[in-house]
Amino acid sequence: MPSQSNRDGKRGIIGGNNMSKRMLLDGNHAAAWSARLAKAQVIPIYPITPQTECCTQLSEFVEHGEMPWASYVTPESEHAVMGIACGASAGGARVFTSSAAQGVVFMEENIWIAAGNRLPIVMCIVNRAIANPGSLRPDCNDSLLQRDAGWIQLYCEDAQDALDTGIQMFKICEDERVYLPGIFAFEGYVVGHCAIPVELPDPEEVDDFLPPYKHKFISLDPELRKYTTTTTPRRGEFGTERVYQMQVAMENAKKVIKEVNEDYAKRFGRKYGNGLIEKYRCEDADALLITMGSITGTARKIVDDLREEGEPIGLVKLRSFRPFPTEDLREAVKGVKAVGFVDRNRSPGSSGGGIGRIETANALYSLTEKPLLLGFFVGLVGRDVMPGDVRFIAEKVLKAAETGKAEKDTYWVQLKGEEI
Amino acid sequence: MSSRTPTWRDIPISNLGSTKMTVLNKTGDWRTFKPVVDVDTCIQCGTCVTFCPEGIITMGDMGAEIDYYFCKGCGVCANECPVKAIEMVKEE
Repeated sequence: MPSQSNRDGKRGIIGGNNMSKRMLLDGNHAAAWSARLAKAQVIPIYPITPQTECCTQLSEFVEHGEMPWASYVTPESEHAVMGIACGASAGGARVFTSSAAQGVVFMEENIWIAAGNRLPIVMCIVNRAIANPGSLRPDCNDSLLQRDAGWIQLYCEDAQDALDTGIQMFKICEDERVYLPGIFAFEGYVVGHCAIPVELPDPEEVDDFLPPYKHKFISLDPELRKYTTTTTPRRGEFGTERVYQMQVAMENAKKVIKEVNEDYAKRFGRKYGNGLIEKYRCEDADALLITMGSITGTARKIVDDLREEGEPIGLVKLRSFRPFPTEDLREAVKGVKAVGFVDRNRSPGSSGGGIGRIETANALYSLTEKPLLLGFFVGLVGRDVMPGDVRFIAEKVLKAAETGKAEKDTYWVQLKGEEI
Repeated sequence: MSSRTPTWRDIPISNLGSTKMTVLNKTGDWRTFKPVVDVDTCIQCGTCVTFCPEGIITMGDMGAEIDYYFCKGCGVCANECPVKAIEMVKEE
């Protein structure tokens, strides 16, 4: 990874100032750039593999005076990180932070506080398998663990996706119809440490896209002399109503994510499907793969290969996991005979399959004509997902579509010692 | 506040920085000790207004005025008052 800031203190970047430019960035550095371009004002952050490069890059930006508006805070733990993030966000600052695996789990308590208090904090989770069995390498349980907390979750496929989604996330979360915190996640190493040429938008155009943060309902500004309290309503008088408000905000977020995706495409020329899902070669497909994150890239290649061989298969990239794009998925599976969800996460003892399959099953259950749904565990605890694995999955789904019957609900792809 | 029961549309979305959440949840009965202002002693300096953690003291024409619907009786005002015009009295 070439450093953006030369050791001699010169910080000239290809293309000069106030221009969009192209740089070789991995996911971590792209996430750091998204926070810089979005002008994040408070960055409480704690390093953890594989997110450390995001942390150090932001530290370098601030240290070299490239983010003079920002305060870089180094608390004693991730739990404190999220506490500071909540305080800073409530105080009126745009807040960015980042973590992974054990760090995210350690934050847990304050993650719920952030969502419940409707603070539009943006967090980048660089997916890493939670111990135990843990690994420094990725699976997606650390971000999926936050599924019920009330955070928006978008999954990124590569470094460019991470940069664009990071910038968009601030806009989505700070929309007054939403006011929820947001996670954008990508897999460590596979995306986090894999450098690709990334188009960086012009900072002034980003400013135009993303006006300064001002929460309409929350202010800790002492000048406003408002009562402030973090007290929970006694006997939960309005608890149900507050949760319902969050549900409404999530429903609104579906619309907002689509709007922001369109607006971003118009300004910067890059678009991610309809914002919630991205369909790839779904025309007349009998079989459909659904993927999240980096496996999407591999699956595209496999779908291309199989299409060339005349197989009717398509791909849906699930970009938004929260809010879950129920309506869009129902639309996407119309006329499809079998769907396979590729799950890079675990949920031992679940109703069937990984978290993605559970959610998809629920989304499709009320359809009168629904496709077969197969679940595939793959890439658990950081095992590499090779094209052969994805091809195996695709062929299983194609076979189910052809025969109208699924051999199994759930396949443990890559499991040693099991005949599949 | 109207007598109609508030709905999800009426209540604020956050616990933070909103007046309505506290207005809906009168918290004055949490108190054990009640601050009582002696208006003859009060010099209207505003120290108690600044220090009150709940932000429920205002400066009136006669002296400090405390909103007992929300005062939780922490006693910070009495402690900070430079002329000892606020006394903490045990609630009946």
